[in-house]
Amino acid sequence: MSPRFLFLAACACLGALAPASDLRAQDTTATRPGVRLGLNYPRGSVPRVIVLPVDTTPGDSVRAIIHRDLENSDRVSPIPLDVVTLAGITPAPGQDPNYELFNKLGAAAIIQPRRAPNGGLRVALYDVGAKRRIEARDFPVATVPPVRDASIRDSITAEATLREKALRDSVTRVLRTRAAIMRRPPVRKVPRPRRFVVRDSLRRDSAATAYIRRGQNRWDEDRRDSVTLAISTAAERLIRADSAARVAAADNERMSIHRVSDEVESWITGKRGIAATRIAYVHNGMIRIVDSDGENDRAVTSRGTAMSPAWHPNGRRIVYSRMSNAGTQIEQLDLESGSARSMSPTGLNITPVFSQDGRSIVYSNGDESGTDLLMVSADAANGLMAPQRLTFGRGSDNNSPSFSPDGRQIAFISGRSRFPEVYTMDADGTNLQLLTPFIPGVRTYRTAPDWSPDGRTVAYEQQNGDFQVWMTNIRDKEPRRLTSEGENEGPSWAPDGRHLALSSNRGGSKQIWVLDTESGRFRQLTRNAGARLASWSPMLNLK
Amino acid sequence: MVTDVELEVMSEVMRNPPHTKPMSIFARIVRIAIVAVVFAIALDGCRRKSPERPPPRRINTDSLLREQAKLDSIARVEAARAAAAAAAAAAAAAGPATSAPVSERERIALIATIYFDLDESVLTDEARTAVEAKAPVILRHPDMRIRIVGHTDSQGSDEYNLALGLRRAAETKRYLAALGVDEGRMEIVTFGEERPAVQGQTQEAYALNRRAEFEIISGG
Repeated sequence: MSPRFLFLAACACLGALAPASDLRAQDTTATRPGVRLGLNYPRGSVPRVIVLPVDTTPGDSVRAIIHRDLENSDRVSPIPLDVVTLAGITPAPGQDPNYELFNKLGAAAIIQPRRAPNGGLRVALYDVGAKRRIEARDFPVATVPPVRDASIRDSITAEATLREKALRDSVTRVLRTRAAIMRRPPVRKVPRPRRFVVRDSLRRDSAATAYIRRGQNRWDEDRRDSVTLAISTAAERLIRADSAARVAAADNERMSIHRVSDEVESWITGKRGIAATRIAYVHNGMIRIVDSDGENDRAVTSRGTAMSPAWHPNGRRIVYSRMSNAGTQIEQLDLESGSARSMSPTGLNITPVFSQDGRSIVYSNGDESGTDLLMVSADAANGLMAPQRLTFGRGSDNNSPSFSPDGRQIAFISGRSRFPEVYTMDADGTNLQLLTPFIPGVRTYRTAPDWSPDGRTVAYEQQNGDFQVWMTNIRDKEPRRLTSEGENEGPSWAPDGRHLALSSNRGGSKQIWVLDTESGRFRQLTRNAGARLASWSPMLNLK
Repeated sequence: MVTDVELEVMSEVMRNPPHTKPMSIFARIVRIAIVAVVFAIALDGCRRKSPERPPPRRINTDSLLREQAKLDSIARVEAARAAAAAAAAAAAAAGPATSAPVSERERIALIATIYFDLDESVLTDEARTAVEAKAPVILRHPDMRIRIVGHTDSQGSDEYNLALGLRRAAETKRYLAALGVDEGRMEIVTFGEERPAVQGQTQEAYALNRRAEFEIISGG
């Protein structure tokens, strides 16, 4: 028996197992549904890619956003190139890229976004090694309407001029009619002729009548000033609303380009990126929200001292605690409508989170006998339902809950062993387990747990002299230290289960940073000294 | 699941089909046997690829908690013994109740801030002495109501610190109650690390911020 015969026999076995249809089209370069060949690059390495400009004009923001998203992903390494080089290597529409040239530049893949006929983006991914296009897709992109300040002002002025002319004509007509009535001799049969005439035939000119009743017997030229003022006020208001709409559209445009980056990342690496996400954090007593690339940073609350933001699983609501002199309350904020709702009894209510189905909120309620976790309904209709108590800490602190991704367990901190440690329990409060072992009587400090989206680990903050971020594997309870430079606190997992947002003073002031737990790379997310308590959103879908 | 490699192999097979020369019965038997052996090896390989995962490590939470509870209970008994003695002393120091306004000396003793150790709500000896000086003042003025405000330093989790501040205020209230002050005359509040007395990231600033403050709500 020859080895060749053995090989063929094995092939025959495999052939029998595979459906016959899969044997077709293997030699074509077109992508087939269900089977992805992906990019060829050495395993374990980060593939280097080049993002081509959409058009060859400088300051191209689409390219810049995708380039930076891929850089932030830590899975793909985009090669920085200047505008002139990019213009030189960008192929003309309909032409294949010069693969040898890209190979010399060290790129494994080329990403080419173009404007699609429908106004969106048509994005193609080329494999430099295989010298072919391996993916292409059209993406919808929200477009920002142009600035319309001048036209708003013009149209309001035109409208006002028209109305003013109509009023002026009307006033003239009323005065003329009134003069005519006054000239007419009184008629005995009708007791109140003037009233009848005014009520009936001058109804259309009621505005003019009102104008005249105010004591004017002629058209008042001084009135022009107040009209002009009214016009400019109305114009300013409309322009403000228009620019707010443009800002919102720009947010959506950035988000839709982030979604392109995330999809391109999955073409290259098989894993979807996390560019289309946001991070909520606390600065100066206000909750702020910032895009995953550090852009579009804005406050979403204004009063009191807000703390501990947490996202609803649909990404459109947040819940947080707000401290005042009367106590600390749990508040829910709808990010689209901007309406906030307070939903807890008075006293100390802190560290709220949504359950995985978004229907309940678990938070910590404190009184003289310590703090314990409670569960309430997140819906307004059931807001008055009695909260269900989950922990019985007997005077200890039990707070900072974090749900496991399947929603069946909760990690939280408890001081029932005297010093704060991370525990897990089932979502109904049973099956308590210690996650972070300790020696009785020896001081330890572990707080702020966050369960990873893959369910395998819990990240938390631990004190060993200074405060650092650690994570512990759920299965073997093996702790792993993640940070060492400066002080690092309050970790929050990204939806990819690989990146963490945390607050760190490594740059001098306390800021939110993003840590790639695989490469150990840090990048600064915020530019607000004193930023803290970061919370990473789920993947944000198109509205 | 069919992998890319398998697809490649299969297309190779399709392009160069195995020879179609008729085979002897012996060759056929051998071929079937080989197929069976290949299958057996493949199955065995599959089994070996997924070894038994060890069961999740379980920490004996109960025994650790029991040991800690024993330590705590010893400390509690000792504290109760000390508090009983201090309560008698406070009652003696207070003397009869009076409707006279609070004197300046009494006020200073009452609103004096007490300080705590790092991540502790247990009263230090110093804090205990300070609280023991407050109790007679409150006992002497039966109309007085006070508020105890717990604070922490800026180290550690901001959220945990809110709970720690509450625990400090509660612990102080408990000690005042043990000294004979009616619980209904005291309320507690926490501000965690949100309202520091001293700004800064030094050990001195931290020590001055780990505190409980006292306010007279009424009757003072």
